[in-house]
Amino acid sequence: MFIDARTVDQTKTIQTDVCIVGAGVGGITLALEFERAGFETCIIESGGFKPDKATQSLYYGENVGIPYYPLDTARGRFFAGTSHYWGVKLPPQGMGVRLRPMDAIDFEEREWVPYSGWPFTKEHLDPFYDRAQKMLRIGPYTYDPVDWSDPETRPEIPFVGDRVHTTMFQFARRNLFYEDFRRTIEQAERVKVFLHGNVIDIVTDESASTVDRLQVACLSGRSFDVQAKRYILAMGAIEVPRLLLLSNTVQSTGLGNQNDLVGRFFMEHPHLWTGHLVPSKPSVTNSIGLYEVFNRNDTPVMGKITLGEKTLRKERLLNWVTSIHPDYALSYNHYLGHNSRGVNAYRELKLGFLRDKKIPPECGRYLKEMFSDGKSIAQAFYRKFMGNFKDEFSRATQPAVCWLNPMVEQAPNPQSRVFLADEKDALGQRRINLDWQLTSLDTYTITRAQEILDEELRRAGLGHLIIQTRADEVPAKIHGGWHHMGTTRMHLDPKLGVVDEHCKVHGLSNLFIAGASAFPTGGYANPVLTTVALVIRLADHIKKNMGEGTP
Amino acid sequence: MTHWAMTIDLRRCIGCKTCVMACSQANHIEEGLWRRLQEIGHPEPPERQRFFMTAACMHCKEPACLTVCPTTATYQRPDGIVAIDPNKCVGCGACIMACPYDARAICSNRHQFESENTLGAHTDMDYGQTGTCTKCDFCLPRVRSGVENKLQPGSDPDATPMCVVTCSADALCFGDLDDPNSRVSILIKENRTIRLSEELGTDPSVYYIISS
Repeated sequence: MFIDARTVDQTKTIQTDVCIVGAGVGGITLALEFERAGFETCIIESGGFKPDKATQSLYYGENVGIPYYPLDTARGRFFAGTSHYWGVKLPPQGMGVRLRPMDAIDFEEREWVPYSGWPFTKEHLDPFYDRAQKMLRIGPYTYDPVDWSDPETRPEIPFVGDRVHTTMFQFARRNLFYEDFRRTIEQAERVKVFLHGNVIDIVTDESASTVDRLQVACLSGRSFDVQAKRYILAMGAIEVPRLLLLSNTVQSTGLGNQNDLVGRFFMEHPHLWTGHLVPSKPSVTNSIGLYEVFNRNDTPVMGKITLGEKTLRKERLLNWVTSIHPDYALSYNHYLGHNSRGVNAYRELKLGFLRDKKIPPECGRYLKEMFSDGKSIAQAFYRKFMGNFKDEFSRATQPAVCWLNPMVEQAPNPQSRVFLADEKDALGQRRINLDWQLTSLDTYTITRAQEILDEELRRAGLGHLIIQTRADEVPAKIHGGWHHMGTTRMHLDPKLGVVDEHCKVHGLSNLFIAGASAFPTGGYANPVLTTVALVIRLADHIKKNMGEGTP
Repeated sequence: MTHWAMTIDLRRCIGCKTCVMACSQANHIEEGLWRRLQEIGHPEPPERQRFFMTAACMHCKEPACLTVCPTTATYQRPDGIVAIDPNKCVGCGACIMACPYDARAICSNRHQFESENTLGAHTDMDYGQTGTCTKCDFCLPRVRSGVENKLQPGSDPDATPMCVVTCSADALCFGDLDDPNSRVSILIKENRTIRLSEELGTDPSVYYIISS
């Protein structure tokens, strides 16, 4: 059932078994789980079914660290949340989201990754991953390329050894939450979704050990309270810490923030377009059909290249994966010799002369390079000249040079954080700012992983990589993937985590957090599948805790 | 008579770019080639609301591109959609210069090159021929097929441009301007709208809603 919060009787407190804040992927998953268990559930959702600018602007905040997306355009503040923004193109039509579980090593405490380690292993989460796959209506729980590749039409790249290998991603359809599950919730007897309601305070008892109620305010001015046996925050890794920090009437540092951890350890998956994969022959990149999005047994899937677990341990790296993308401009430039010594030297000499109108100081070096690689120069001139008469450049005869689009695990870093701003929003609440920071391990991994890929490409005779990043600097155009994680991290010790192994906020008996803000580490995999698995696990815990079927 | 038109409600658009991505996906083109999105201005305090504008071909009733095309590749259908016949287009670019809305571009061979990931190249491309002009066609294949199958463009998703179908904010609307009862006609009647560069006499078929 959907209710407009702006019409709620302000004199009455809403009573329910479980109150969920946020009707995004996590909140909707929880509600469906609790409906099956027979609990009365309400969801408080800030937006409506469609976005509106006034509500969306409540998400506004400044980026004060590494340049990042605007916080109010990187998230959707309406029913089904940021699932509306899932925009990976799926064949034959439609858009969706990339899904993959994290690797087993991502859950381990790795001595070269500070603050790493989950309170449980991947094996523990596997049954929940399997249930998450079914909920998201994707294929079977296997990400082994053997189960998805075809040696004839979509083979794996034949690396030698196990330093690098292929892994798979699956995809879920975009409209799952805002269409399919909306219909399910509409018909659910015990789920009430209050749209256009904003939770502005978590009110606790005097010792801040039990949540007493939530205060809800609408932009229209109406307000009311909600009381429940259990409260679950599911608004994402930027808004959850914001609400905790704002709820500071009793605990002045913010709820759950007795050890100054709320909002810290913000993690993303640093993405960038970098590195030219130059194949040794056309057949190498004319056989990479496994590495685009395609349908196999009605499931959209895609292959990517990743480092082996032994490599991560030996090299002491964060987890890393890359997709590969043939690029026309790179390929044509390669065809014209831009990656050869002789042609590059000629170009530098020519550009230097044209720019400065004099012979460049390094003229001698350039000439030496040109004379030592005359063949490339001659070939480049010939191809440029012949291009005026016929088109000799095609995938059939020339190698396709590919961009890499790596996605990297970010090391947990307490200095990477969200924090309250001084500016207030239309509800009188302090906004949230983001200070996204990376560590030297992040930048080292970005480059070292490419070096390893280069070594393996050469070893297998497949080609080589032109690396454009440096291990000691943050790449210029690094960006995120709208994957917000870690800001209320999980740890058994309250000095090292905001929530315990059951995602319950340390120090509070009835407050839980659902979603990627609880991740202690993020791996490289897109967080949706792990989020849904973790949320299903949380739902099971609460059901057991409260006695399933007995509200 | 039918005249297809679109309304874009600037009050609703939150800049999610779904329309841009949907257009790119449905028409096998690079993002931003047909439909593009731009943020205008800066979100000022205290409201911090952003202003976005999405644009593509305006399907003008008096298209400037039509008059300059030397080969009649650009043509106007009876239903108002301005389309390009790639078999006639020689890629002279005159229409690109004539269009005041920056709505046209020349097909590059880049997309086809970048799509040939499998041993066999894709054969179902309806992108247009390399070197010819390309632009938004209001998802003409969908509209045409929808009409043939007695579907209602603008109401039935299978007969409606993809940008309209996938807009999360319901900011885009498509329909028959010659039908006074169509949603497009009602929206134009009940709201204050503007059209871009009307003073040039192009008579665009895309209306931007700015207020009630």
